[in-house]
Amino acid sequence: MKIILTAVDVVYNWARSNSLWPLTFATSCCGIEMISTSAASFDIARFGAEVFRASPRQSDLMITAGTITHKMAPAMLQLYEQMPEPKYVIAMGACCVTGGMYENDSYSVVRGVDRIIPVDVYLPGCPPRPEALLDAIIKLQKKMKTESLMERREFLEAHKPKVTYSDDRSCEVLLPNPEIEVIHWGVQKTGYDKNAEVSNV
Amino acid sequence: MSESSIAIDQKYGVKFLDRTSDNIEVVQVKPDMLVETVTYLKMNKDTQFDVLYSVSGVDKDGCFEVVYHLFSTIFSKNLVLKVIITKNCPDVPSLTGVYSAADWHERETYDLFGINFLNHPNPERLLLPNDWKGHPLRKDYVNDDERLSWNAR
Repeated sequence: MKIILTAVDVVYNWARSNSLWPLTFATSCCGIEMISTSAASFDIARFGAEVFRASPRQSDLMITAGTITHKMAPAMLQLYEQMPEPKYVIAMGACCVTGGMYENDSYSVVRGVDRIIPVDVYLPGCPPRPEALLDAIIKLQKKMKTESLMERREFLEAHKPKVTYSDDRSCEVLLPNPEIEVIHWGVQKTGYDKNAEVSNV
Repeated sequence: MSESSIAIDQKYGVKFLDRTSDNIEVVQVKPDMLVETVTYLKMNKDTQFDVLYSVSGVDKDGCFEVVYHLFSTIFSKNLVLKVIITKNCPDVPSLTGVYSAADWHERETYDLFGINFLNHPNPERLLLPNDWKGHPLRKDYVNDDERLSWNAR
């Protein structure tokens, strides 16, 4: 049984890894690099990923190109959930990897999309060069070619969304998922007192 | 030169404050006279400030400032208006009746500074989610919303 599944996996992985259909999703300047990658001089079509789909229901790769704010986060999670399985995510740019230059003290920016959706390839840069995005796509293709369906299920189970929608329709931000304990791995702020007086100068 | 070169009638109670390095005059306007003054500056044939290109807020020690940037396409001249209001009662009349451009600028200023624009047709937040708590560009703002605990550092 396992031998048959492995043989099926090889054909299946080869077929889908060479025909990735990315979602047209760009929230800021990384989107310009993504457009540049898909245009003639860099030509993402060489790697079979040129069909940028405007609908999440027809795509299987999400390149989160740009800063994700709290206002954008529910829309992004909804788009991810609307994509059919199997689906993959490339976190493109510093903002999507850790929050980037907004990571320190921003009130409105999500500190890395991996707090919301499972990420397969992290692509740092501010913004990354088109060659870097092509490299990320090749790395994703390598990952897809070496994995099996069962491994993918385990991966998704381990990287479940850490947030959830509110039942209240008037609540427009994502809430923490009560079933998952979130372990924060970021650099801790030292010497910061929340109740300290703020000088008005 | 310490006097304003723009002839504004004495009855509006406008006070000349400063002149910027690129020679733009800054004047202070009383909140209750704001709409009358701006209508005068827009309609009077000697001033004709027909463009409002920025509305912003400043959180000063003890007061808020609302800053309006006006431009006259006829005379190619800029003017900065400042309205100083207290922190307890941050109310300013809306300019949407005079300049339609004021609509979104005032919503943004309300969103980030909590300055209330009276008689605004749609006084809602522009940039942040509607149920956001607090106004982030105020100096005393602390983001301690429990709902966003998943985003802590």
